[in-house]
Amino acid sequence: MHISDGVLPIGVVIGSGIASLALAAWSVRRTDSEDLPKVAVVTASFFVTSLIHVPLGPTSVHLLIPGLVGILLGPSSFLAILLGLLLQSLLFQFGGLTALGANALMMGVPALLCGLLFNKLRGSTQKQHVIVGGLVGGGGTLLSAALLALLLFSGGEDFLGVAKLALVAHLPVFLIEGLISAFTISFLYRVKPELLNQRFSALQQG
Amino acid sequence: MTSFRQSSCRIFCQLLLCLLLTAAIDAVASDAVPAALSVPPAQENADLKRKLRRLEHQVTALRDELNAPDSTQIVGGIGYIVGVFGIAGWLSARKKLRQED
Repeated sequence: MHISDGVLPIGVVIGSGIASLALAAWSVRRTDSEDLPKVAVVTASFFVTSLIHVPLGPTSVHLLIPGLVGILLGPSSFLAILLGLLLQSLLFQFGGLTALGANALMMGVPALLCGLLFNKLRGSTQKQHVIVGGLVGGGGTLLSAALLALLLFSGGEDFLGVAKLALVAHLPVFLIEGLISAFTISFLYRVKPELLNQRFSALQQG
Repeated sequence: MTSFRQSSCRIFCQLLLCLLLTAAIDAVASDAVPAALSVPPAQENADLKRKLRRLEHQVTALRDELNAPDSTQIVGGIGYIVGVFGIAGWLSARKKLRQED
């Protein structure tokens, strides 16, 4: 799920570039320096996860984990995703540099929303954590697919067709990501629950 | 460095593909000459189509293999990420220490 160079009209490229720069700046300001190791580890996981292609039927799919990144990092997730995507486009030509803004929005906005949603709904029991985490984890990818369709629609593609295609192709991914998020969160809840505390509420500036 | 290796790899694969194609054409041609008397053209066409489809599959497989990231690049990317956050952490720690002085 990457948008390549030259697919989007120039206005959308510039607009999404500016929007993602602004979001990245906000994200950097909201990142506490104490959290940097955590952000680095999650960024590295995000970077590696989308490189592991699992063959599935005629094509291959890979995980995207925007939801999980958002749950773990909160406001810092946009920074993590932008950096991960930048390196992917530089090293592997996954999506071009000009489409980086659009790609970052496509993955980063769902991550931020997922983080916010998880923080609001997670409750206090492990069961609720796991259920909400699984739903949010799968939902993040769903939202990414919807944004992909929306962005391609701006490039003149047929919106419903692309949306349907992206949904069907990623149906197993939604399920797998939901399961992985639920599993990760239940593990973290038992082992290191403070990792699940984000800094949406407290304003912490370097 | 990387781009050189990729381009040389690409050239190698193109060469390989050319060889495969010529070999396939040769095989088909040598099959066809003695078989022309006994095998009907429809049968021959079907054989050719099957061979062509197999070659197409090989080409897509080769292309996928070329596009797949290799492990050194993945490890390198992780190194970049750790390095960037390491620098950020170092800078912010320095700032904090200065403020305390």
